[in-house]
Amino acid sequence: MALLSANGKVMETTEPWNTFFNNEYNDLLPDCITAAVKNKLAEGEGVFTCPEGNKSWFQFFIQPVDGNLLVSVKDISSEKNNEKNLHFLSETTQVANIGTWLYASNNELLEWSNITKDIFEVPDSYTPSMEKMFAFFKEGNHLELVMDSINQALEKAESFDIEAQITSEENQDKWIRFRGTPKKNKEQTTIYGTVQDISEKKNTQLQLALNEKQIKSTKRALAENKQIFTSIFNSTFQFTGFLNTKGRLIDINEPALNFIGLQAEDVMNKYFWDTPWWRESTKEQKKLKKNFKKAAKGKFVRYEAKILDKDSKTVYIDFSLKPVFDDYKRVTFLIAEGRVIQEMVEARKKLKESEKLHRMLLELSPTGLVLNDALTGEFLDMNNSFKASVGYTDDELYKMFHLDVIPKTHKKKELRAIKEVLNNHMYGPYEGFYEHKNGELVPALITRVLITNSTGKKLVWSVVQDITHIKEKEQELMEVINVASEQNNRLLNFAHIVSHNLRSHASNFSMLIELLGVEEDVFKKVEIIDMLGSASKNMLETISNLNEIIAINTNLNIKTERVNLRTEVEEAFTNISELIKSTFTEVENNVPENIDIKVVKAYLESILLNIFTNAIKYKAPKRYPKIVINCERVKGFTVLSVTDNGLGIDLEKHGHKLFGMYKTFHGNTDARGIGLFITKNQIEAMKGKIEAESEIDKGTTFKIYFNENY
Amino acid sequence: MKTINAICLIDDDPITIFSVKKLIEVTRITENVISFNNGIEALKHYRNENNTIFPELILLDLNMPIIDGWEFIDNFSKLEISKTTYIYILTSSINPEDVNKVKEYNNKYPFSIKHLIKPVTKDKLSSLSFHLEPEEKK
Repeated sequence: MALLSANGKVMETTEPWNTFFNNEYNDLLPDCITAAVKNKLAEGEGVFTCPEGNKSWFQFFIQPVDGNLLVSVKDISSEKNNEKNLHFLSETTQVANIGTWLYASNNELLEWSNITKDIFEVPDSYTPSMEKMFAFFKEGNHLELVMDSINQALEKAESFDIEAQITSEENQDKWIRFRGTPKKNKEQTTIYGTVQDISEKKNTQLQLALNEKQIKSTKRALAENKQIFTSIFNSTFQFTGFLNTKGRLIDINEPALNFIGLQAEDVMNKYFWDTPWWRESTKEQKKLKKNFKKAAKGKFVRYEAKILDKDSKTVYIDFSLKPVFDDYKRVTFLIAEGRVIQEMVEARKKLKESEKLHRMLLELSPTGLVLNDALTGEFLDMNNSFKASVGYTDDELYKMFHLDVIPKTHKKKELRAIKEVLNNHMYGPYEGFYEHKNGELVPALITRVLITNSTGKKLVWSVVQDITHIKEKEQELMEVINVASEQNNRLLNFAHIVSHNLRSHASNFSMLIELLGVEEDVFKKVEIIDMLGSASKNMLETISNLNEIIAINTNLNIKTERVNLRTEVEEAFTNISELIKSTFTEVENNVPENIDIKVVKAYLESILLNIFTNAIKYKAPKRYPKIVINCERVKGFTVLSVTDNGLGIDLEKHGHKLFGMYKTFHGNTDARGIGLFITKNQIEAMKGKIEAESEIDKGTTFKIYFNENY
Repeated sequence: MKTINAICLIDDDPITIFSVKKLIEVTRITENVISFNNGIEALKHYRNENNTIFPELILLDLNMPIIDGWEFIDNFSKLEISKTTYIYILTSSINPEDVNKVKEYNNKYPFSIKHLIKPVTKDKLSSLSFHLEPEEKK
């Protein structure tokens, strides 16, 4: 303390004053106090800086005492420092947007800084109180938390740092960080605190939490997806695997593993082509390696591969390698896929085999098979048999049309057949004709069937059985049948002749003997016995004739030789020269000299003799007989024709009997009806034939066919 | 026994003619037998209007020169006398063709045509006379 005069001069100082001011103001006053005295202020504050540089804050009070002035100084450095701190705090909090508050328990005063007021959105003039503040906090957890924290701070001097939600004066929901630090003096507790708007952070946090939640669900979804993928990956029938760009197996699905009977670890990270699937053959392995290289360069490859199953059986799969690219179009890994197509391959194989078989059958078939377009008639396919039948090559036929190989004479019929096929899908079998390249007709048994192929085109398959040979054989057969039936007829005829003739004789005998029994006249008996004699003679003759015919027909004692026909004719004339002379017959032998034929000479002589004598025997009564002999060759036969100018014979009436046995026509008493029958048998025995042409009263021509192949 | 007015015998075999004639004599079924060596001669005879005896019975051989038995029947059918005549085909043939032809001719012509299988005997001739009773022709 210091005592001053009324004009402000220091009259005396106390020891604490001197100590405080470090003896600097023993006789004068600090400037701040001097100024206050001059301005008649009652109090003020000042600062003293000691020579060491420490600053000491002080408060001074000026009181008039008995005309003098008493100045008392109070050290407030510690308080001032606090104030300074507060100030600093205020500055910094302003920058950090952190509001401050202060609560003193003794007077229950609550102070808010401006920023705090901003946060609570109240005007600067607002006077807060604890009660009012609590009202800002959201009821429930938030309010309880705040009240608890403040109570704890007051009672137990515990600091708090909480986050709670408020509703501002302007009705904005905000999150705040609310902190407080209590300071306890003797009788009061002061809480210094801060308020920070953390809505954004909180929102961000919430967002984050939300995000996290989303991430979690995304993760879960991913996990689910992965599960789905894995289950698909493993439950599909398809084999799927992933390869790295080196060709090593990164992943493989269960079906593929089950197929070969292995575990994933058996094959994982191995070169794909070294895995057991591919041990079907080195060829398959090499093929895979080659195709992998292609795929690793970014090409999709797909081919039919052969792999092994767990029983080491070869199985066909539809195999593909698909490269997967990254954003820079680089191959990052490859997907290998395989699908068993064993059944398909086997079915295809079978189809191929059956196709091959069909083709083979088609080619080997002795029956012609040919495919034409139903509408244009173009040739589309044919087998060898067909080509052989018509004599054209494939190349020729492919340029031709159906009607090109049908003979002109049969085109109409063929067009009708085709119409039938188009209407009824099938026609035949019918007998038709093709025309061979060489112009010959080819008889064929044809069946035509209409089919529609996969593209809807109408086609006609024809089964063409070349029946040329059958027709020829049929002809031959007919000839054989003719010969056989002729022989059969002859045989039957012969049998009848034999029975008839022998019976005739026998019945004659029987009748004569019966007469002999009843006749009493001896002369008449003699007559009957004569008759018996001639009957016996007749029978012997008949038997001899029959014998002769049997001999001819059974070719007994046959001896063939080559003779000159002209000479033989001459000789025959010589043998009957007496007859020729006596009947004034004219003969003309026109047979060329160089004709030799192979015959049974005795037969030839008998034939010529019989024909010539017949010609004379049956001469016309009003003219001299004339015999003309000619010779010609007809299809393997040397034909000798003997023409006379005799009676002639009605062939329409008697033709069928002309060469029969015991047939006579002219009532001549010496006609025995055996000559021409024997002649015919002899000629036929030499594989020849005889024909007759005749006109009544003009003459007869016999044509004798000598077979050149006999 | 019924007697037949006349029998005509046509055959080219003299032994048959002889034998049958004799047998007819022996059986006495007719007083009147006429024979021909072939059908032409027989037709000539019956075309002549002076020959007024028409035979009730003709014994006919089939296999003869110039015209055979069938041709004879064809021509004979054109004669007026034929209607009441019985023709017996005299044959040793058992050829079924001939048997059929007899039936055919029997149906074809109004007179009766039958077989008489050789040999001819007394008994066969005798029985003929009974068979000659007029039959109802269809």
